[in-house]
Amino acid sequence: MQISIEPKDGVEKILNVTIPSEEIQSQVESKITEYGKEIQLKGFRRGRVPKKLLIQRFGSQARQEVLGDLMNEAIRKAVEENELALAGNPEVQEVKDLDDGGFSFVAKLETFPEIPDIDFSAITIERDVAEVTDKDVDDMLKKLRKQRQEWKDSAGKIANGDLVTLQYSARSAEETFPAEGSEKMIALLGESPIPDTLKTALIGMKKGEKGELNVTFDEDFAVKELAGKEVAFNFEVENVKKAKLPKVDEEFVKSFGVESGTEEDLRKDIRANLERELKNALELQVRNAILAELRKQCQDVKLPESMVQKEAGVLAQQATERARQMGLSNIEPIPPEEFREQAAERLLNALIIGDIARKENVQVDYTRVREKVNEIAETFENPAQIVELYYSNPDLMSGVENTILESQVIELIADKVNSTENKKTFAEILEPAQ
Amino acid sequence: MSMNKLYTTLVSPIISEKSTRVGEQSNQYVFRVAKNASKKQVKDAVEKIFDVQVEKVQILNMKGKSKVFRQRQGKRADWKKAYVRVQDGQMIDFGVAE
Repeated sequence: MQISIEPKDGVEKILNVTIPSEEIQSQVESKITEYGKEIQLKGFRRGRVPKKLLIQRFGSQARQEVLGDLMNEAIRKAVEENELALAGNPEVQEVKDLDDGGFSFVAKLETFPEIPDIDFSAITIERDVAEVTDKDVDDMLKKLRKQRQEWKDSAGKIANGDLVTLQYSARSAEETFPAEGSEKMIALLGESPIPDTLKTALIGMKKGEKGELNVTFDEDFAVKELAGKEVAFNFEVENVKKAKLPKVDEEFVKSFGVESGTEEDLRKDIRANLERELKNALELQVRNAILAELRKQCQDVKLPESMVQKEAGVLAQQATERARQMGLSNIEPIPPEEFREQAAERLLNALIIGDIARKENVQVDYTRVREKVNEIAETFENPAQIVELYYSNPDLMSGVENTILESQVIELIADKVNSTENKKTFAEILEPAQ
Repeated sequence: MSMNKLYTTLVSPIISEKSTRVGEQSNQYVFRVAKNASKKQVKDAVEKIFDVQVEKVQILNMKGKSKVFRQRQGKRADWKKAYVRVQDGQMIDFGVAE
């Protein structure tokens, strides 16, 4: 058997295999002899069928089988001898019967790319640094209070942030809306997208007061009849509600599950939460920064196409499912092409991490795996059940193990790379978009 | 004799342990032939269809087996078997002719 391998494109290898006639012949014959012992043919006792007849009857079938075996063996041998790590199944092309009874074929193999050794000390990343300050805790507390705020009717003057109910009728050049009587509108000043002129006019008014002014509504205003129109706006303030933030008292504190009911403990609790969030966010930032750098080092690495496509397919499916769960029930499946880049990135990440883990001999830390599983389980109603589910499902488990391995590798690298510190505030890190 | 008639004369080759043995030992081929076929007809048919020279034809009548079917005696049809010896060096390949 002649096997030759041509590298092509780095990850693709072309395997040329020629199997000589004699090799096939001898295997076919031994196969036929095997058959002959088993087969029952009319006119012959079992095992007495002459070989000539067997070859005539079953020759081509036996040859097919032998060729199949030989092809598998050739590929296996090639993979073993060249220490290839196959990604995906080999694709056999150009199957040819040679004139002398031999056989040749060409197979396309996709291998995992070689990840080059990376000199971690040459990498510099920007590492965000931030601390939770008292002000952050204050802000959070304010947010919590706002979530619990109550709306109280008020006879006072309207200010920004109030909830105002109006009865109005609007007259534009062509028509009047509503045609008769008045329509109700509720606006939260400062939040609802009402025209600024109206807002300014409202501020300082009281319940029961009337007003009239010309306003132009935005094109995308929620009331279709008014959107994009300039109207004479006739209104009466029907009701004014002012937000009342709840006091930080024992009841308020206890509603967040803090037993002691003191503000101090609530603050401690909030601080711990914020610090955990911050830590996760910082770790994520470091991880992304490191991975981005690693990818940059490995940008010449060619990824096996079939794996990228598989990954993209998985991502697309997940995205489609997520969309469905969010209520878009009859959404079209998202085409995998849209996730190509993301898939390639993820794949490269995984390959690099795996490679480094191998080279640095990083083993999965099972104590951390257990911690992680517990952590995940705690967010469910029945943690014990979830833990059990994880431990009995190898897929879920290996997912967790991969996450842990990844963070272990990242930590390892994080110690080795140079980093410049980038001071930021808590808010900047947790709300990067703003 | 037309080609059609030739094929009705020779019904089918018989391939069995015995037929392969006589084939190897004395260059004979065995056929199931029409009940009314004569040695001459068998000879002509084999020569035409397989393009060989026939040396000798031996014919025998096979009695059909008697079988019991639903507690009634029955009998399979009688048939005629022919041993055809072809000239040395010539052979018939049923695999191709079929």
